[in-house]
Amino acid sequence: MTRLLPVVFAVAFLMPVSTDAHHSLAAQFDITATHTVTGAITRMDWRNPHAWLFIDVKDEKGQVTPYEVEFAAANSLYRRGWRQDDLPVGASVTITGYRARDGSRTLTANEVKLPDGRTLFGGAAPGAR
Amino acid sequence: MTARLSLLLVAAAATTMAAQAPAAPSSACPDDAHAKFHACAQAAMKTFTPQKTADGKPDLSGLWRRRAAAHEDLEEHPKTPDDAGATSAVVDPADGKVPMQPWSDAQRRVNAQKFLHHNAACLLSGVPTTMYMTGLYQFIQTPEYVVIQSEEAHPWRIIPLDGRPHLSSRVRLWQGDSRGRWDGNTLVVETTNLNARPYLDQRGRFTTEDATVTERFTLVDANTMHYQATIDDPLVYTRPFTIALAFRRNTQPNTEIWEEACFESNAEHMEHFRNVGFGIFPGISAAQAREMKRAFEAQGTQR
Repeated sequence: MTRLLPVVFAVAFLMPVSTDAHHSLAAQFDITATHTVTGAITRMDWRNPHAWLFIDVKDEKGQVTPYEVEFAAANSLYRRGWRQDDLPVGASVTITGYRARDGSRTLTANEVKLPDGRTLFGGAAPGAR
Repeated sequence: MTARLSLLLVAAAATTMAAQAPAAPSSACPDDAHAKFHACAQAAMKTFTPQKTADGKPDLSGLWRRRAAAHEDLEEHPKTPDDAGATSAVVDPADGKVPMQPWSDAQRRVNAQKFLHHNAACLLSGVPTTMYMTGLYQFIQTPEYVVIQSEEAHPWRIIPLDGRPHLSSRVRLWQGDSRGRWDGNTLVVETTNLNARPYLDQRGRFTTEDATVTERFTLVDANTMHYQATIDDPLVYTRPFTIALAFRRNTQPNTEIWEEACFESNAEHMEHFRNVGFGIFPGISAAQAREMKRAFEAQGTQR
């Protein structure tokens, strides 16, 4: 099954939460459409000004494509309740976000879902600090 | 893991609920619209008697968070997937427009298409921009100094109150050189020696090193602070202009300001910006501004 699902809903409908970011999101990402990927966590970098999650996305042929996913600052995630061992290597997550304009396998995350459909958190790079 | 994630979800939900709960006493002044807040605060500060420090000065110390955003665009801008949106932070002129000169307005549009806010590369935000970025602010106050720490790129401002002169004009700093004094219940801070590097907002507005920024901090009630900054840079603007915004005290227990250690200039991911043609704003010096203005006006003459 192809795990990359372009979503072409109206941006305003899908994205009720705007950013309050320290630089323009649109400079780096195509904010006209969201994409959803499901993959297994390989690494989480707790950094400022953005934390990064690395996942392996497997297609129906078993081909693995690594993705990098940008989040808000590590400080912000920590304030929301994240801790370093909450997303262990190998865990499956479904991420909806904007893809990088440079064509790389990079997303900025707006929403992360667990396998049972629950939303772990939302918001890409807001200033919810 | 399921149990851990459940706990995390509960914690996240509790955090959301806590964020929505009235953590502080309500303010008489609405603080989500800059001009309305400014007008209300100007009246309220005339009658409010703030808590004083041991040396008899208004006590500004504590944790604060700025309300409506201005760092995206000083002027009114809508909420979009790229912007939180806000009313204009400009209270003078009264039309809410930044009084750009024709050349600088053209230049700032070019800036916004080519250059990102320097904070993307972990550089400091400058004055006054550092006062309306994201995150918490902590004010520490002594009879001799006011220190303002903020989380976005972890800068601090150490503001002497003893009347000492500014540094030599040869010294240029990201946060400039600030000097404070008390004007009744208002802390007045004048900042010079800026380095002409930071943006004023993500729409490409800027100052040269000739700019002088005069800020006023005044308590409006126990948990609300009125902030205004007047930017005077005759090379860039047709007249001095003033922005105003609200700060609300963080009264949630056990809240602390955290260092936002920015990772190695964010170098690893700056390539994403460079790949699509963006750089970091290099700044415009006074000498460059004069030349840009001359060239712009010469083009106009030729037209």
